[in-house]
This record gives sequence, C-alpha cells and structure tokens, in this order.
Amino acid sequence: MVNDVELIPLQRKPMIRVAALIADLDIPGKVTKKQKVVTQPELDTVHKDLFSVVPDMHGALQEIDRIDGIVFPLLQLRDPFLQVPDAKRNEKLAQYVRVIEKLIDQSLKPTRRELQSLNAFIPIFEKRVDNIVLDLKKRSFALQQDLGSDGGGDEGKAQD
Amino acid sequence: MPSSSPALTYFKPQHREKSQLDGIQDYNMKGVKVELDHNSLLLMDEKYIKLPQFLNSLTLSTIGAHRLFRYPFDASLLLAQNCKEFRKSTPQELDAAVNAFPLQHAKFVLAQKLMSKYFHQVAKYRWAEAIQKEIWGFVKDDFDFDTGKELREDEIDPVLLRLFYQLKLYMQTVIFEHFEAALRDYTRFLLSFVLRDPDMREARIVLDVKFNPWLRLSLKENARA
Repeated sequence: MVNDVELIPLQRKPMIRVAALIADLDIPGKVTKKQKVVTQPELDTVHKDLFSVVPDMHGALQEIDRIDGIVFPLLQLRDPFLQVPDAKRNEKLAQYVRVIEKLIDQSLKPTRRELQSLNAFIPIFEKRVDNIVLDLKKRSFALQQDLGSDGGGDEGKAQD
Repeated sequence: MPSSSPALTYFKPQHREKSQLDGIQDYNMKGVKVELDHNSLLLMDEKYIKLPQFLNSLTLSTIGAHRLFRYPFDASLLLAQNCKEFRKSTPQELDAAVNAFPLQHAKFVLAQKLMSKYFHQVAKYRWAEAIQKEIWGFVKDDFDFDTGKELREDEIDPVLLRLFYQLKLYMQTVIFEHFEAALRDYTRFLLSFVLRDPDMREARIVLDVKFNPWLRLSLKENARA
C-alpha cells in the first residue's frame, strides 16, 4: 500500500452546507402547478466551484518573470515567464487532478441520492386526495389480479 | 586566491566569420575544452559555489513560508487582501465563516482564490525580485553588458547564459513542487470528509488512492507532525 488512508484525521462535520428546498416549476401553457426538490446551492455548481480551486492554484504560478528578463529588460525572449507545471501532460500531476475530481464527485453522490428520493414524493403532493385514493385502488386491484392469476395457475395444476 | 587573479577571468570566445576560419581545425574539441575550463574557473569563485545554498535560503524565507493550499485559512491574512466581500467582517466573523464546518461553499472558494492570488504576488514580487536583486549583485562586476541595449539570447555571455538557465530550472522546480504539494494537500483535505462515510472506504477511488504509485500523500510524515 502506497498511502495508508487510515492515517488521515477525519473531520467531524460535513464540509459544505447544502439546503434542500421545494421550488415551483413553471410549465408554459399549463395551469397546474408542478414542484421539484432542488438544492441551494445547486450540486453542479458546488462540483464546479470545488474543482475550480485546482485551476486557481495553477493560475497562481503563471506570469512569474524569468530572472534574465528582469536583469535585461530589453532582452528578447520567446517566453518571458517561467514555465508552469503542465497538469495535463505530467503523469504525476494528472493523477492528482483526476483523483480530486473523482473525490468531489463521490462526496456529492449521497446528496444526489437523497435528492432523488425526495423528488419521488413530489408526485404525491401534486395529486388531489380523490386522485390518490383512485390511484391506490388501481394499484390494489392490479395486485389482486396478479395474486389471483398466480393462485389460479396453481389450482389448475392441482386439478390436473 | 586573489580576486584579481587571471585564473578567475572568464574566457570569451572571439567571434569570427566563416571566411576568417582556417578550416575544420577550428572546430576541434580541444578549443571547446579550453573555453569550458576558463568558464569553470570563473564559476569556482566562492560566491558562485555557494549560490545553490543561498538560493535555497532565499526561497525558504519568501515563498517557502507559504503554501498554495492551507487549511484552516488565516483570517487576518484574508482580511489584509481587502476583498469587498470580506472587508466589513471582523477576524472572528471571517474565521467563523470560512473555517467552521459545514462551510458556505462560495465563501470557501472565494477565500481560496484570494490565497492563490496572494501566493502569486509573493512568488512574483518577493521571491523572483529578491533573486534578481541578489543575482544582479553577483554578476554586475563579473560580466560586461549594457542593460539599456536590445539583446538577443545568443548575445549574452555564455557563462551568464548558463547561469540564467540554471536559475530558470531551479525556479521552475520550486513552483512545480509547490503545485504538487498543493494538490496533495487538497486531496488529503477532501479525503478527510469523504472517508467519514464507511461505505467509501471500499470505493474504487479510495482504493486507487491507496495503491496508486503516482500519488504520495505523505501521510506518515503528516501523522508524525
């Protein structure tokens, strides 16, 4: 093992505050109101912003003047600045950047899952009570039919 | 050895046009060796020998004292950046906003942006200019040049050119190491949250971190510190 992750001291609290809220969805041409559970800030924004730390740190190393360029201000140089590390071509740096992106993605997964399960309840809120009763009746009828057809098959076999 | 000794003067090859050359004899390796020997003697001066040591201590006292990614943030350093979003906060308020979990991600990202910008200023104005100042003190008496004249790289004295090349390599190595350390620190920071979920310990990405030979998170050194 190269890196024993057990040695990393764990944080006690989550890193980012993400709030869930129910937002109205405007559907053009429809009078009925639809709603959806969303997060504040949006998860895609959080992903993008947390990853933006990497290009920001890389940007901090750009445009640092070469010493010959400062000593001789009139020296003609093809590139007057020091070369910055190439995170795409350097194998070592590319591995770090890939892992950071994956870790951010992984850390947002449980929140995404939670969001999906919350959204599953939204259709129930949107229905009127009599429609919910009708829907439940339809489901129980379908369930009875299934059970009946299974039982009927068994009875048929017994008779044979 | 006195500094006026001819042994310390550098050999400057005289430029000759092709028509002035006697023939292929002028290109023999012996001539090249004589030039290198003379240049090496110049670089044997104590101040040039001690240059790497001096550069290391200068680097340590300028950008060596800073990190591209460091958590928790230094609230007073953040306030000193005079950013309009943080300007009205007290150090305590700012500390609570950027250093207490769970964070408001926008404030965390802004604080990190400010710290990256600060690092850039330290590298560009404190580190590079401090090296330039010292190097100027070194070379102004040893080489002939006119700083007010437009120059091409091939017109610079070859010994000075070599010195500049070494400096460029040295400085690029330093900034590479800083960037690698920053990526390592950020990876460790993210892992300290991700690993709170017991299911994540067997996730593919965590296994990758454990066994990837390119990643060196310096966990043992960190644990000891």
